[in-house]
Amino acid sequence: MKIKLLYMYPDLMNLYGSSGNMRCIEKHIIEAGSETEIIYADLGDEIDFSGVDFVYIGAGTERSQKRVLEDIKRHKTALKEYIDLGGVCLFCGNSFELLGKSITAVNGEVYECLGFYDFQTIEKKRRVVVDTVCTCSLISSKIVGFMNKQSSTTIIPNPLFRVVSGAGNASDRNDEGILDKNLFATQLSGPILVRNPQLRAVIEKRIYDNKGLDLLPLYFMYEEQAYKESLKGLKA
Amino acid sequence: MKAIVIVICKILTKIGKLLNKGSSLPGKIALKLCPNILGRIKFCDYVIAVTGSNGKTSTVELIAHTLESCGFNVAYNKEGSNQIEGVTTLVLNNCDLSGKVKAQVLIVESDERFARYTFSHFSPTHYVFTNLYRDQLSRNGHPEFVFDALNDSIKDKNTTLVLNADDPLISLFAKGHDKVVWFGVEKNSLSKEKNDSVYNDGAYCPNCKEKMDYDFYHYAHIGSYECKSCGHKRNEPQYKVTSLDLENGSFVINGEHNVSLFLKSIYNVYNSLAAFAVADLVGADKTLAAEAISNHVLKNGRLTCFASGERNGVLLTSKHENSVSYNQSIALAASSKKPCTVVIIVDAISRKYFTGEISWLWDIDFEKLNSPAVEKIILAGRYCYDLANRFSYTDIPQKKIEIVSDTQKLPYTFSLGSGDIIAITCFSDRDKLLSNVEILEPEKWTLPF
Repeated sequence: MKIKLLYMYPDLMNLYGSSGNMRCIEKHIIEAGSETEIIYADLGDEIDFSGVDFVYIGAGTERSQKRVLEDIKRHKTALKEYIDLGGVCLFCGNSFELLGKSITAVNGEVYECLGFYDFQTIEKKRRVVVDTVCTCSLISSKIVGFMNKQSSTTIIPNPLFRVVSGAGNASDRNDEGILDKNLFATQLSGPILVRNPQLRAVIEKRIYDNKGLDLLPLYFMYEEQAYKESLKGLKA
Repeated sequence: MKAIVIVICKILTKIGKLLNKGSSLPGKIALKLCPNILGRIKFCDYVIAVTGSNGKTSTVELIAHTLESCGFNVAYNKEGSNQIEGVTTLVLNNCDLSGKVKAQVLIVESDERFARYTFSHFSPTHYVFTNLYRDQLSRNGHPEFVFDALNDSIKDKNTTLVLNADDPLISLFAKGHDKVVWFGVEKNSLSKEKNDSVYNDGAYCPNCKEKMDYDFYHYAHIGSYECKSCGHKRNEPQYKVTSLDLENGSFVINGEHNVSLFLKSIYNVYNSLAAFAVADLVGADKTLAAEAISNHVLKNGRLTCFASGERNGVLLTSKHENSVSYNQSIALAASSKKPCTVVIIVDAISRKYFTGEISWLWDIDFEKLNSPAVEKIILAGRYCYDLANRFSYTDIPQKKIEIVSDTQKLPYTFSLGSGDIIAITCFSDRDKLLSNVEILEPEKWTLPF
């Protein structure tokens, strides 16, 4: 059985090694013995969400994000249905902001977003660039990542992570991201699945569960060693 | 007051040199004593500023060397201290006590994020923009964020912008500015129809974010582009490389000026072309300028040859957190004419601060090291496992790869193999290699590519 991966806006939303997350999921599915197909969807492309097993969007510049916002609204109903039916998806970096009610730019302009979740994003002049360590209720080990953003959000009731050090969605709170059924969203950017093998395993497992397939846990030495080193480096 | 500040700056620089200190502190103190000191200087006729992600130091060095060879009296920031403090040191040290710059041409390398502060006190006559790439994301955010900061540094309509026509983001600086000179590389046998890198920052127009068309790419998003939606496109350059033979390291500017290169890379072609453009703009003889650029060996330490036991090595100093810089070194290594071992060291990502940010490893085309000449690849330093993981996504046979977490053990690892060594690492990590090998004098340098 083929596992279908949907990569939305792979060129516009591809900052900070974003493509690493999709490559990571693809590689692990292949190593687990399944077949995969990646569907790339760009501005203006039609998307058929039926049969899709995983949806991914990475991080972009603020300008790219606004352009994507305009386009992704065409898929609003289909994407909402996909999420509500328990489809697995990952939103990283500022693609996470698209899921809220609105984004207010530095110049005061307000951009209406998908409105799937009840939060607002306010862009700031100052950029936050910081190594970040979080906990996640789904796994026992800590999450390592990097925050690279210039915005802050209002509180989200169902965060994916709790920040231990670094930055979360707002400077005065420790909530980070959204977890809703099989939707994983985080403002952390970069190849977060590569860096956090346990998180990748959870997401991969959910893809397999949805398919009714068994997934044998495999051990990838380099990933585990790299993860240990990054924890050590960040003294976490 | 002005004279006193200048004297203090000069004395502090002398003391700093004795103590082996950097060149930014004297300027910092001068700015404390007189925040507007740069605004009170009488500048020379030509003030050349150079900024951009990559190639700043090399381009400044090439411009200085070229103009000096053409008989000009030149001052520039040799140490590459390129924030406002370092620039202040440079300017004051080259002034007489009345505050007049003594050189004929002042060349200022400027940091991208700080240019807007430096150039609020004085304006360059010519402002060279080399390129804008993904660079130090853990500090700089992203290229469009840097673009906005740099756009604020263009304050004087009399400044002539000298822009890389082949970079669509750089080209946007011309918007609303009349005095613009373009440089670029014409289509040649190495130009590609497709961007075959991990990412393509040229896929969408930086002006309107619609899809952009490319006639050809030289590398990354550098090439000939046109946005059908808003009309943003490559401008016809006044200074252009009309033919290029990278294999033999030579190229021709505007169909008549031959230049030969010591370091045979397309990136070096752009630096040389920018230097030629500036030389012509300040009135140097074009033939002399082309001769001066030819075979100039850069002294800024990007290239260092060494010996480890019986083996010859070359260090290609690259920039961590900068995929284009790495790709440049990878292209050179892959073009090696002799069997070689490539060693990549990622130990301290930055020399200025700690970060564990490794996303940039996923933006580098390590796949291109899959070349027959590259017999072995050694991955070294604290992040050797992140590197090994990244390499497991390439087609490079696993048996070619060796992991050495402790950089001190590299000479031993080298002693077990044969052939040339090509080392790729950053300023932050290079001494971990160089302190354990014998550095060769430039007379003994031979390059495998």
